[in-house]
Amino acid sequence: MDARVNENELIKAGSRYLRGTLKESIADELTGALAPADAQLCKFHGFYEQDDRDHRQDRAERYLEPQYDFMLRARLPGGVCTPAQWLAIDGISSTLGNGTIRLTTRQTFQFHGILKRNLKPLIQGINQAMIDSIGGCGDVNRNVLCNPNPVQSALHAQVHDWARRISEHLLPRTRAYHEIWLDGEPVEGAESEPLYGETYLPRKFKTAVAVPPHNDVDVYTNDLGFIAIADGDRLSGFNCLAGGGMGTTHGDAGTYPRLADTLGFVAPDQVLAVAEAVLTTQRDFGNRTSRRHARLKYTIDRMGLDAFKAEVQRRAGLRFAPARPAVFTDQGDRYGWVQGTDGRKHLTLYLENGRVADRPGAPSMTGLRELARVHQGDFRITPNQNLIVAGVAADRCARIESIARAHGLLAETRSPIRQSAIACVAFPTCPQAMAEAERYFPELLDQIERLAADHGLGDCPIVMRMTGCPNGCARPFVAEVGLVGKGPGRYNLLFGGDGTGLRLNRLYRENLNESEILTVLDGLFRRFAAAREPGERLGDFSLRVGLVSSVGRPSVTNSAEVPHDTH
Amino acid sequence: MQTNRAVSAQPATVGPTAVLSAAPVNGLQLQRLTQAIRGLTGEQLTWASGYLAGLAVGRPALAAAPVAAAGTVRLTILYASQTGNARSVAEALGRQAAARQLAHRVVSVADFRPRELAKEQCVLLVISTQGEGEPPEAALEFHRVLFGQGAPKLTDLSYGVFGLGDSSYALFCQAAKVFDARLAELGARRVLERVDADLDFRPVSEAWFPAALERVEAELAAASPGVAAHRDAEVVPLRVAAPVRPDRDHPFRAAVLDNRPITTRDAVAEVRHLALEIDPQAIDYAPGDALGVWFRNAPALVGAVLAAAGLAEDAPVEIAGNILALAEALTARLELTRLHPTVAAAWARLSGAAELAGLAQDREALRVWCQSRQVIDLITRYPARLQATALVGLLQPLAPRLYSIASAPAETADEVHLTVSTLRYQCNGQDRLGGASGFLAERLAAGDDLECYVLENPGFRLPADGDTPIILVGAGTGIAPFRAFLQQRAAVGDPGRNWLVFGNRHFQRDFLYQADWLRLRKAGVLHRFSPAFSRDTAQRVYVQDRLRAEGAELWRWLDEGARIYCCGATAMESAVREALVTIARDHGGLSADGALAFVETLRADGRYLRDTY
Repeated sequence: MDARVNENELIKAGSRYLRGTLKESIADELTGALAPADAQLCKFHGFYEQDDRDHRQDRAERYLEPQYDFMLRARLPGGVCTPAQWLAIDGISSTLGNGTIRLTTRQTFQFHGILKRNLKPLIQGINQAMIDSIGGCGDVNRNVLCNPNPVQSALHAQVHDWARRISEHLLPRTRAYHEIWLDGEPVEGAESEPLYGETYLPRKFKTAVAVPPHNDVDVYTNDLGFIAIADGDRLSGFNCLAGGGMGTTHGDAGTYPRLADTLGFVAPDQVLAVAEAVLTTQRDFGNRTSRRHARLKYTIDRMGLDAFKAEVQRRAGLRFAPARPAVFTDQGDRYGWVQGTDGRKHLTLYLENGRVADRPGAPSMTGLRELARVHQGDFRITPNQNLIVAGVAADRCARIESIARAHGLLAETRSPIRQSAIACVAFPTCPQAMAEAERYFPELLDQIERLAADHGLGDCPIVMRMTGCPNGCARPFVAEVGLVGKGPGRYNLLFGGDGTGLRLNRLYRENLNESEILTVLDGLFRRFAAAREPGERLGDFSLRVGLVSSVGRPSVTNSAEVPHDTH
Repeated sequence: MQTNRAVSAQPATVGPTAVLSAAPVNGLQLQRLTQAIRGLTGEQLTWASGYLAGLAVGRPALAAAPVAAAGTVRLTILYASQTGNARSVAEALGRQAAARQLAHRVVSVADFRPRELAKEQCVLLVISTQGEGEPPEAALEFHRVLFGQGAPKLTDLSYGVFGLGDSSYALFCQAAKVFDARLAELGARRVLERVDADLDFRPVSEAWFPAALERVEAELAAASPGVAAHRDAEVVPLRVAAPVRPDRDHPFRAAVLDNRPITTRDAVAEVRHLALEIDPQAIDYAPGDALGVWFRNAPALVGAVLAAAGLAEDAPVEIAGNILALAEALTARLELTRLHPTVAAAWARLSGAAELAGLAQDREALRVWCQSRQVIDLITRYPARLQATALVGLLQPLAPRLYSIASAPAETADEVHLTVSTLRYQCNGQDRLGGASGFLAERLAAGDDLECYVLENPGFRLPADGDTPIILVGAGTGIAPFRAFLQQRAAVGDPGRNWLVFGNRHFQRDFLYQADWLRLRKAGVLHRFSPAFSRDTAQRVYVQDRLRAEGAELWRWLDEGARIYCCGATAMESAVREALVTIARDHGGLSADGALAFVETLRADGRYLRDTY
């Protein structure tokens, strides 16, 4: 290979295990930004440099630099936090962030609008609440997803514990985070990073743990996936998956969304070895010249699945058993009350696009604060950007529900389409955004809901997802209807997800504006209403009638044959 | 409102277009000569002419050229000016002296060695008074020597003092009074009674000139027989055919190239950046100089004044011998946005309003009251009936406003940049706008013309030695001259280190010229930067706090010969000075008195320079 490694590899290599010149960048009072190399390194510490793109031009005309601020994403394995932690998060957002909290598809929360001078106090603040942001972003294992399954209480506890242990096991070992943000003592002598090495991974690495029959974590879209196999309330082991990923680049046919391949079944106590083996194989075989082609999914396609699997088995010192049968029925959240096997009750709240804020008529920030003050169980952030008030004693349900209702946190009045819809952050802060998402999707949904109602489909569940760019934070490529931003007001329209996250959708039309999107949907809804088979989903229908050509469906049980979509 | 800026001293009024009458030099030689003497003060010119004459010895062919001898100048017009008014009076006096062919020179106290007073025959001192009775910055050394232990004996000197001031201050013309008394104490002979002129000083000075000069002529005649010896015609050969140098009364019309806000919409106060196109042949300036700007009062405000006073817009009125419509007079000739206490006091008599009359009893209270009010507030709150001519007679003449220049000629020779804070406030629930800043912000677009002139500020210049480190302390629009300084240092490649200390309210909203500072740092010109954004932190932090916090570093810079510049409001400057004293004590190991003396020495040595408003 004669290609040179990409710039990020040099930055990592020269960073002294992620220290770079972050301290100096933070101390530089002339700019609200970091030095360019530090703006890459800071991701490993959990935050991104962003700027308010709405004001970029205007500020340049005033001889002001862009309005830089930072987005910090916490590490919160499985999305579980205590009410006390939530109160701390809430307070920190008000004093050091922009007064909102964003729940994400990675089951964690983000602070937005953090000014540079507030980064250190903010990290110290969450640290006091026993939360950190190590590897929140960056070329390491990110926050580990885990189905919040509140019903099977005992099983969830076991599975969540493994999710947490995977997260801990794959953490970077550098003390840079403690030194820079928590005033830890500088490390004396040589430091080492046994798992990652000094250049870490070629690209981000995502891990999820699913508990069938719910695929709310979209386990097949992760680099590394585990499907919990249980015998009643007892965890037997996991089906292991590798090579899923959403991100693509417009105009680069060498990039594609991909569903994970199944490697096989392992016992619970083999999980950490598998996780480490998959991660180090990617570390050693991943593409370090082109970041666009660096995710594990491309590594596996280049190596071939058999060779990859053999390498993983060799490194983990085990052999995968054949994957066990597993059935998924949905990829969304189940709103409202459910009762767990332990008799406790759990309330799933609705938070539009995961944004916790006090807005006119929607005081969700105050609502969650009120709930946190009285709740005695825990909170679980879902992979669909919602929140579960988990473990409520029977005699406290009425109180919890009345607070939730008073603050507009119940899903009940929303249509099924809106209940399962998710959008990423996009404008104005996300540097990747090409089109609006979070700010715009709700109003587009108003019109889509009207269309659906016009065609008698008001009660029909359809999974619709929107992102502002093709990197896929809202996992749009496994939606029944995907909208992927191409430019201001323009979206690629995709159809064909199966409603359970086991099938990729396919591009229908490129670059549509709002009226074109609505015209297409109007026509599709009309045909669907007229020709739908009993219980048929829109994603299946769009395939059956040939709106898009057939797309692959991974087998959940058969590890030998794993089709995936490669455009 | 930024009525900043100091001015004093008079560089030679020799422009590139200067012509020597009957000069025995050709065009190129003349050009070289004018280049060589450009920027010299009157005193320096006098010395140079003697120097050149000395060179001429032994060159008989040229010895015939008439030269000046310093000793023959018998009248020295000394001025101590802060905003340029004293200087303009001194220059007008000089022109009248010239018209009478009276040998004289006009010189700023800043360029005058105080001990030389003892050698002078006749001095007319024109001096203004600042806020709390202080003399102008330029007169610091003059004051120190004359009031010090070894003050010279002035028994051969005859003198007169012309004071400028603002009668709304308790210590009206205090500096003039103090010097007038002191000169007498030192043995000088007062040949003219002191004149204390108020804001509308022009009629007073015009009336004073002939009488003063007649008295001077009589003095000189009595002192030495043969009056003709004092006649100018024989004395100063370097007669300049009055170059058209724009000044207050002959402003330059500059085209507006750019006029934009440089603070965000949610900033506490708007600050704008103006770029004006100038003809470098007609206007030249140095970093540190200020620009005087003429403006027109807002049509809406003029309309409101007319309506409130019940007067017709076309009522004819007379101003300085010209007949014009009242509306035009109120727009372009009279002060509406600054309310002077004398106007309020006159209005109290006119309206018979008891409340106002009561207020007018207390000079200090009246002054404070006037500070946040305009003429319209007076008229609407205390209605009175009066004639148009009475109104015109009552109001103060419109005065130009001064702004520090924010650009360097080395960077943009044909542009002048200004940094203007738009003054907005409320009075009686009504929005009020500053006169000039409102005009610049709301009624002046790119392509329009603006009448302006340069006011030199020789007491606020970059070090001649480009190696000298400088520390620039500015708050708000006080940053303006420092943009000029750093542009200049970048353009000429001065290697000296530069440290900028800037204070304002919010990093995100009013970090004036942030993009410039980033560029300058990248270019290696800005070596250290210390901001104080007071509203960004729970505990408000100001520039003086930053200086104290970085006292050890500041002391190191001083140790390496750094100069400190301070530009901003007077209160801020006092706080900075106190911080310097603290630093001298804490980091220089000086006693409390020693630290005070140290900072005084910095000032006296020209290592602590101030431009305040």
